[in-house]
Amino acid sequence: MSIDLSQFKQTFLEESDEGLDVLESGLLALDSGTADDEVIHAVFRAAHSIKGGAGTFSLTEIASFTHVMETLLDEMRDGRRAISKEAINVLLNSVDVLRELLDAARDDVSPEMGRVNEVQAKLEAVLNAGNDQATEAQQDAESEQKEPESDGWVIKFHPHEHMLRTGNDTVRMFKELAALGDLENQVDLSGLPEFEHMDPELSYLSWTVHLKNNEQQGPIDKAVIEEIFEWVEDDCDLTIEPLISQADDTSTSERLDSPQAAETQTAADNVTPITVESDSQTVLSKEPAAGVQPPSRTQQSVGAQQKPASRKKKVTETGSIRVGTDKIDSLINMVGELVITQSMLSQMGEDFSMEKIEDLREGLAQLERNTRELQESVMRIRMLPISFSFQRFPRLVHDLSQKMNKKIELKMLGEQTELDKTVMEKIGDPLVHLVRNSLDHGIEDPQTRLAAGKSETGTITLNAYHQGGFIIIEISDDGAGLPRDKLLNKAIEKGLVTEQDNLPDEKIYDLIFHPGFSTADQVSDISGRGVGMDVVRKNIKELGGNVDVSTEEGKGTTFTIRLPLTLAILDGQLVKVGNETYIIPLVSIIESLEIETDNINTIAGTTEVYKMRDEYIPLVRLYEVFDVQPGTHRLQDCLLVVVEGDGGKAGILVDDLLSQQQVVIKSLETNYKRIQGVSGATILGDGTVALILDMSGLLTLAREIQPAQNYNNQTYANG
Amino acid sequence: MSESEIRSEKNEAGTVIFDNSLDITLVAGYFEQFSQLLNEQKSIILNGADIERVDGAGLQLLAAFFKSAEFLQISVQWQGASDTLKYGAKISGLTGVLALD
Repeated sequence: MSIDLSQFKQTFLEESDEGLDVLESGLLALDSGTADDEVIHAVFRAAHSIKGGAGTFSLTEIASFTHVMETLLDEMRDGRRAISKEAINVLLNSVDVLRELLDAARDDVSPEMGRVNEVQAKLEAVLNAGNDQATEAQQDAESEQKEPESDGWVIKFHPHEHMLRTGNDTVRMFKELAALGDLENQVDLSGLPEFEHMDPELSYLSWTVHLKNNEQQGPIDKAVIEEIFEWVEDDCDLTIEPLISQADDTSTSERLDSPQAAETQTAADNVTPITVESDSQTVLSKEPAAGVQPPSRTQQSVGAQQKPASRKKKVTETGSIRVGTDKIDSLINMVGELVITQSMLSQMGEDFSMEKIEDLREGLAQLERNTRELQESVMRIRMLPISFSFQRFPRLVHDLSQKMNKKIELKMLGEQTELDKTVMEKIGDPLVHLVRNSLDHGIEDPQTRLAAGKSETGTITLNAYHQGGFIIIEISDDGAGLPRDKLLNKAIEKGLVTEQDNLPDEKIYDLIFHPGFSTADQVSDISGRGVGMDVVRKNIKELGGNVDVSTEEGKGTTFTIRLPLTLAILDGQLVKVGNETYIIPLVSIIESLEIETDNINTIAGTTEVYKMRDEYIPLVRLYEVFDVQPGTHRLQDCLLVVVEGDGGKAGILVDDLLSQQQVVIKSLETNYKRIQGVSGATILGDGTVALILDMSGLLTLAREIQPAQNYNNQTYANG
Repeated sequence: MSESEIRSEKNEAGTVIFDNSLDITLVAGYFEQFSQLLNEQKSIILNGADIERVDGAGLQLLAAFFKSAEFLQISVQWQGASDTLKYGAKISGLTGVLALD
């Protein structure tokens, strides 16, 4: 009888992911010289297990690749080979390749073998180094001879769906490429979904860039190209291959490089592409096949176009979770308590009399207690220690500090602090960007640090802890700090503030989160290479959190992220508008007040603002935005909820404030469709559905309804 | 609604005037605006003369919009396009798709 192994494949892949984490942290420990013998044994065992499992599931690419790794690790383990920096670096690269191979296996797609072969060759070169140096020298000589023959590079760049959301920008990258040589870019639109089904913040396009050497600038170094994509290496599929000269490969280069080909591409760009599933790639066709009608809009969305989206999701978000048995035991306990209470109430119901009313009340109170405890217990199951998110940073710091010739020590505190799995998955990218920013722009090079009287090794500290119902994550460095005056001058230059504004320091530092300050052509000391601090803040705000910066020039910078522990439950203020109930997240509310009509002014003829102490805030009439019938049109009968969203304040006009309560968030997108200004819905105690407002979206929507009104980023100075 | 009213609605062009930025922080708003225009089935005029900053998300939105308009046989024309927009489209291989050549 044969056994269906496919049911165990998922388990193998999850265990392999854990094995890779062991491999990576072990290799980093070996590199820093802090490891004992057990570490190299653990690293070897992890590689051995992956190889064995891969063989069982006929994942031959993984098995053969891991075999070479294992051989090298075996020699290190037995002391036959010294643990060199070079070997560790190649092994770390191998871990990355294995991750890609496992992702491909998870998605049942063919792996990209170009990089696999490249790293395998490096592994073999390290293995052969002791035995056959002559061969290696010959290989080096050959590769050195080969590179000058290339006319440039062909870069295949396929951003992952979420890449744009991480603050990385393709236009910036192409600009940097164009500065290196002659650039021809071919875009592949076949991943674009039907317009109404697209999420404009996700990435659907991919490119083949031909970057040719030119006479003025000379040959382009591959490392320089790699550096441009350095920030997105985890967020895209990227291959960089030599552009074969026309004399060597006429068939390829003519098609790619000739003016006729460019014309063909331009023409192809202007027609609706048809996606044809082939063995290895999608094909752009200029015309629909004869006699075949273009697929209907519905067919398109259900068919090929949605396939890549669902596939990518699996890569970034794992579908299972490991839960400690103590949490399961606690859950079972809670359920036991609930069953006892339920049976007590049932018994009471069978023989109820008014004398038992107190007992009934007590029983119901117990039921409420049990339900709350059960809810908390279930929520705890989704809570994971933040070490899952932090564990990527030792590698990141190791790689980047080597690249930048900086000495950096990474300290991680509060790794066992727990937060919801979904929040953890979504906070990963913003955290990576903040740490990269600290590495790149915060910590100075050793010479500068020594000259400033600091130790040559910089420190980046990640700290996580709970505070109230929130998790606080701090990313601090002891680097150069933010240049206050430069920031201020830039803001004045861009017209964001005036010299008379007298901004407090914290407002000046906060400018780095302004969109204008996040692009590469801004203040060089703080600008990220594609890292949009505005996008980092936006992503964190979307999670219901916030990020602040504090800094001291010459001493360092600390970014503080505040996030809710879970996205499933929200503390909300229920408000009434006509017959509708809406929920405003408490985290967005600054204060609520009764309206004094004297404080209402109209500017530019259409924009209503409310004077609140020393500032004017725009008014948003919720009934207008959502087109519902209000309880009253008289402003003096309304209440004003002052909220903060998207960097600015606004006053939301409501009929009445109801209670504050925790609400369970139901996704509107999953159950209905995405609606601007609304982040979800909940079911209230009386069974009615209430919409949960998304402040950023709501203020944008309000701005669109009254375009003259600027709800964004501005309050109006008094007078 | 009479046939002439429909015709007159169809002949009336919808116009989108971009601010100085077309980037990921604004694409959600433009997406709503474009969706509405596509639903109205009117010809569309775009004015991107003031665009000083454009990023990949902004260009991708335009590309998707042009493809959709083409599919729905809705005419889209540029009334103005800044050099920043044209250069961004050019280096992203989107000049043809966005009819900016």
